[in-house]
Order: sequence, then C-alpha cells, then structure tokens
Amino acid sequence: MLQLVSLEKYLFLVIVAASLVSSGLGCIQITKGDARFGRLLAAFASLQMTLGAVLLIFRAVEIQAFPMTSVFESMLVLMVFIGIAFLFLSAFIHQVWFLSVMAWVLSALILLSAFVARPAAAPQAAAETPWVIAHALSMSLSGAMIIFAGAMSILFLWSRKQLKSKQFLTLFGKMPTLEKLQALNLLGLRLGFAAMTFGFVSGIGLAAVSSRELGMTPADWLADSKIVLIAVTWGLLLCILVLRRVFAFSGKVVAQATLLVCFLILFAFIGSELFCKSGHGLINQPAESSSSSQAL
Amino acid sequence: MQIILVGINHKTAPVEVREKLACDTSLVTEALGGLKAEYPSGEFVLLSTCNRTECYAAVDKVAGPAPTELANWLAAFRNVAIESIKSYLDIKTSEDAVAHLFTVAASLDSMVIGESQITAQVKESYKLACQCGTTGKILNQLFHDAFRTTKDIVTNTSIASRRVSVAGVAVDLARQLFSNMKSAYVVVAGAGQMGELLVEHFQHENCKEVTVVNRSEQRRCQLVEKHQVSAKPWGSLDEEIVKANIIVGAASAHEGYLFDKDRIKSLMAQRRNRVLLIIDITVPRCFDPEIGRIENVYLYSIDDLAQVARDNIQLRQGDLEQAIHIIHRYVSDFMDWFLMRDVGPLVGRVKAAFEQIRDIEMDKFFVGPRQNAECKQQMDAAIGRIINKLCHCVINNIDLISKEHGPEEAEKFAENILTNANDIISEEKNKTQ
Repeated sequence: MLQLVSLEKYLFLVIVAASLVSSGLGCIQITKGDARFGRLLAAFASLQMTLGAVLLIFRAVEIQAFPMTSVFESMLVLMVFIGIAFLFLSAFIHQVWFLSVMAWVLSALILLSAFVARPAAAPQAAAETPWVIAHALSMSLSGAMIIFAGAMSILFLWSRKQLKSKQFLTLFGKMPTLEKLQALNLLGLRLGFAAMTFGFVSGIGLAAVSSRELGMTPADWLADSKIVLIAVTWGLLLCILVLRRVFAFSGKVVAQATLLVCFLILFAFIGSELFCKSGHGLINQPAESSSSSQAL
Repeated sequence: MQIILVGINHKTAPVEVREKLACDTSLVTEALGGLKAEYPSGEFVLLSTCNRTECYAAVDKVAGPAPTELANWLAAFRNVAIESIKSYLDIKTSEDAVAHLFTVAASLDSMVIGESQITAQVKESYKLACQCGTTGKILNQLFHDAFRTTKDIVTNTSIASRRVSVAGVAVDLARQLFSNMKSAYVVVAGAGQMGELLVEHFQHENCKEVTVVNRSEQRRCQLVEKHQVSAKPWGSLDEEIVKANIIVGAASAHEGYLFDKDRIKSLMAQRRNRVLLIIDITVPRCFDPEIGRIENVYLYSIDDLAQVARDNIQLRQGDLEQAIHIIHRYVSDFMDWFLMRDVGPLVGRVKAAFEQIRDIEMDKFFVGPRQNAECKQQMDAAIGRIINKLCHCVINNIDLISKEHGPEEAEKFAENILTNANDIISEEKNKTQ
C-alpha cells in the first residue's frame, strides 16, 4: 500500500479507515443486539465505494485505459460490486447480523486489497480491446457474487448451528430467516456462475485475439495458475448447481461447498498474485513517475 | 385539584376480594354516572379487569371527596362492607397515583410484564369514561400521557416484543426458519388443548393451510367447525407430513414414540429434503429426539420452547429499569403541567390587576380639559398593548422559574406580583378618595 503515489495512498487510507470504523460499528451493534448503526454502515459503504470509484478514475486517466489491468484495480471493482449489493439489500434486510457481516466482508476485501496495492503501470496493447472490459467486468462481478454467497453461507451455517443447538434467542429478530439466507446464497452462486461463464467466453475471445501481443501460447494459458484455479472454481460451481437439483442437497452442503468456492476465487484473485507465478495480467512495466494528481 | 387513585389489584388483594369489586361494562357505566352525580366537579375513570378495579379521580382539594370517601363510595356501590376490603385497598394521591397509572398502562404492573392486553383495557376504560362525560381537562391529559408513555416504552425497550408463551415462541421459531409464513403448510397431529392453541397462533400468522390430523373424528370435526381448518384422518398423517412445512405433535403416544428417526428419514427423502420444523408439545413426547439430528429437520420439545419463554420473561425484567426511567420522565412532565395549571388563573388575575392600574392612570390623566381628547382611544389601545407585552414577560419568567425551581416557586412569584399590583391599586384608590 505504501508503494502507491501520494494522492492514491491518502484516498486508499481514507477507505481503509472507513472500513475499520464500519467494522467496529458492526461489532458494537452485534453486541448490543440491534441494528442501531444500520444507516451509518450504509453511509460508510457508500463512502468506501465512492472513494474506490474515484481511485479507479484516477487510474484510468493515468494509464489511459480501462482500469482493470492489475489485481489491485480488480479488487477495487470487486469492492464496488459488493458495496452495491450491500446497499441494495440493506433496503430490504434490516437484521443486525446481515448488516454487520456485510460491513465486515467489505472491510476484509479492502484490507486484502492493501496487500496487492501497487502503483499504476503501463498496460499492454491488448488492454485496449473490448474483450478486456467484458472479461474483467464479468469476472469481477462473478467474484463479488461468490463472495456475497460465501458471506450468506457463513450466516446460514451459524444460524443453522444455533437452531440445532436450540439457542434461538441469539437469532430472533437479529438474523434473516434460514430460508432467505439459503435463497441469497443460491442467488449469489447462480449470478456468480453466469458471470463467470461469460467471463470465460470473453477470456477465450481475448486470448484468441491477443495471444501474440501477450506472448502466450495455448499451453501457457492452460498451465497458468490463475486460469487453472478459476476453471476449477467454475467446475465446482457447475457441480453444486447441478447436483443440488439432482440429489436435493441440503442447505448445509451447499453452504459448505460455497465456502470452498469462495476460498478458491479469493485465492485465484489474490493468492495467485502473491504466491504463484501468473502470466494472467495486462501490465508491461511500472508507469512513469507521474502522480495521479499531475495526470489529472 | 388533586389526583386520587383508589382500588385493589392482584398485588394487594387475592382473587376472592378482587371479584367483589369487579365491574363489567354496564356496572362501570353506572358507577361513573353515580360518581359524577355525587361529585359534579370531579373527573373519574374506572378501570376494572380481572386483576384490578381502580378508580382514578381528579377532584377539588378542598371541596372534593377524600380518598377514603371515594373508597367508601365504591364499596357501597358494590354492596361490600368497607371493613372487608379496607386492608387490601391501594390508595395513592398526586404523583404516586400518576406513576401508578403510567406503570399499569405500560403493563409493568401486570402478572406477566409486557402483555399488551392491559394497555387495551386502560384505553377502553378511558373511552368509556369519555362517553359517560366523566373526564375533563386533567384526566384527559393524564390518560393521553399514559398512552404516550406506553408507546415510548414499547418503542424503546423490548419489554413487549419478546414472546412469553410456548405457542408464541413456536411461532417465532417458524418465522426464523421460513421467509413467508403465508405459504407455510401446518399439520397439527392431535387435537388437544395445546394443539388447538397452536392452531389459533398459526392461523393468526395467516399460514396457507392448517390441517388437523386426529384419531377422534368427533374432536376433529369440533376443531374444523371452531377454527375453519381442514381435517384429515389419522391414517393420512405420513402423506400430510410429506407436504408440510411445520408439524405440531400434539397427539399422545402411550408406548414409545409415534415417530422414530427412520420413519422421518424416509419421509424426508420423499420431501426432497425440504426444511421441516417439528414442534413436539406432548408429554410423553411423540417424536424421537434423535430425529433432530436429521439434516433439515428442526425438532423442538415443549421444554425447549418453555425455556425460551422463561428466558424472555427474564429479559423483559432486565428492561424494567429502562422502562421505569421513562415513566419517571413522563410523570415529572405531567406533574409540571398539572401544578402549572394552578398558576394559570393567577396569571389571569395579574393581568386584570395591571389593567385596573391602567384604568386608574387613564382616569387620572384624562380629567378636565383633556377629558374629551381625541387621542384617548389610541392611548388606551397603546397602553393595552404595553400591558400585554409586560404580561408576556411575566408569563415567560413564571415558566422559567417553574422549570428551574418547580411550580410552587413559580406560584409564589406570580402571587408576589399580584400582591404588589393589588397594593398599587389600593394605594391609588386611597389617594383618589
């Protein structure tokens, strides 16, 4: 994070601070047992999303391309998508556990982004093709939906455990119904699968058009850690959605599988960047030492 | 004026005494009419429920009846010897009476704290008194403040929101599992008293369908007639369970359990593992507790529900302190208003004295050649306006003193001004004479 240029760094620090405050508020309202900071959490989420969007605009101006060429930018887009889902659903779901967990998920994503925060770098020529926009947006949307489904499955599993162990008082009026959590989990998985499928198709299109410019052969693509992880995730998603219908999987099995998918997608987004070597990027080299403010 | 409460309640008197003073609607109407006829300047509301018979009155401090006189009247009205109820009587005046009403209306004085029935009963009693014309400015304000206090307590504490009955907790559980109770299909196996109570509760939740499955056809038909539910013979129980979202076990099982784990497991397979809530309210239980281990089956016995009901009662007690704090605030506001009422007429008298001074001064000025001066009318109006403005200053100061030092001090202040004004008037009158 410290590698970011001044203006980006300050903006990102404000986002991190807002996320820490909203996490704290989420903790307080869970201890108090009511959604007393519901509106405040929504306001903080809006602030984080707006600043994230401003950061992305700075990047776009600086690199003169669609700002999804690095993992940091993708994480910001992911955060904006999750924020939108949170704001939309918070209008209908007011239970304290839902609001707090969504605030924590947003904060967790922002903190994870801090690990992969790098200054803007000059994009490759392939980054200017429309395939990139379609691919990056749909994969980010898919990631956001899967992370959302993961959050819902955590709530589902915890809720189920409390109900099975007859600890109802921790749930009454504080947690969305089990049926609703299951439905939201499935909705996240379905949307995630649809977006990921589209992301795959557009990714294949991108590879076909720009393989030479990116210096990647089909074998390179198939062996790339990030692509392998995403493919496994896609396969797992397909299995969950199909087998659930065929074998009438219980909510618990679906929730556990969702958590696995969620972990895989997060690892594909961040882990592959930190721990594996991946050629799945659209950056040539670090940009010239011009700050965002100067660019603007 | 003073506010009086005279009555008995479940805390001061046993049921044998309470029933002696209890009144139905027609008796309450008769009593209110009698009280108004006996004490025309007083205001009265009579609250009579199974737990209390209480008369709230606002009467003249000097000319009105004393609390004991009111108690005698009530005893005589119900043909009860006052000696037999004297030791059970709860008599309170002014602030204590106000606090008692607010506590009763907010259901903090009920047998089950937080039950909403008493609030409705207080409202009904007040409405009846209004219809009988026995309320006035004081009791209107008092009862409206009582309802406001109740609303504040209900909104800001969880005293009334937690269920304290087994049937209520069962409904809460169903609402925690299913998003839309309107699409829930409820099967009640057995038609005992508890089963019937749950039928009522689930019907109140507008469940899609409530079906009673019972061995005895006669009892089944009784329930169908009484609650307009559907009924099925005992043999179709498995078939109904496959369709149901919620099962209420209310049938007696004399030997072992009616349902064991394997039977429910096979039924769950037919249901394609849809979530099933089982509420077993019979003793001995009709569902094997092992059934609770099956995935997507949530089984609760009457003890589980009763425990939650008990926990909720304790939590309601925990909110009591906050509720009492709210009541204190409202009582204090009401008493300020009530005591300030005595200052109101004083302010009127101060204004009248000021106007008298104006008249004296005007008479002194417009004598001789000035007697028919054209400006007399304009001057009169101008001085009238000055007096109004000065009176406004006096009222503001009275309000300020009342807020800072209490209504008694404000009354003293107003009385001082009035004495001074009256001194000036008598001095001027003496001079003229």
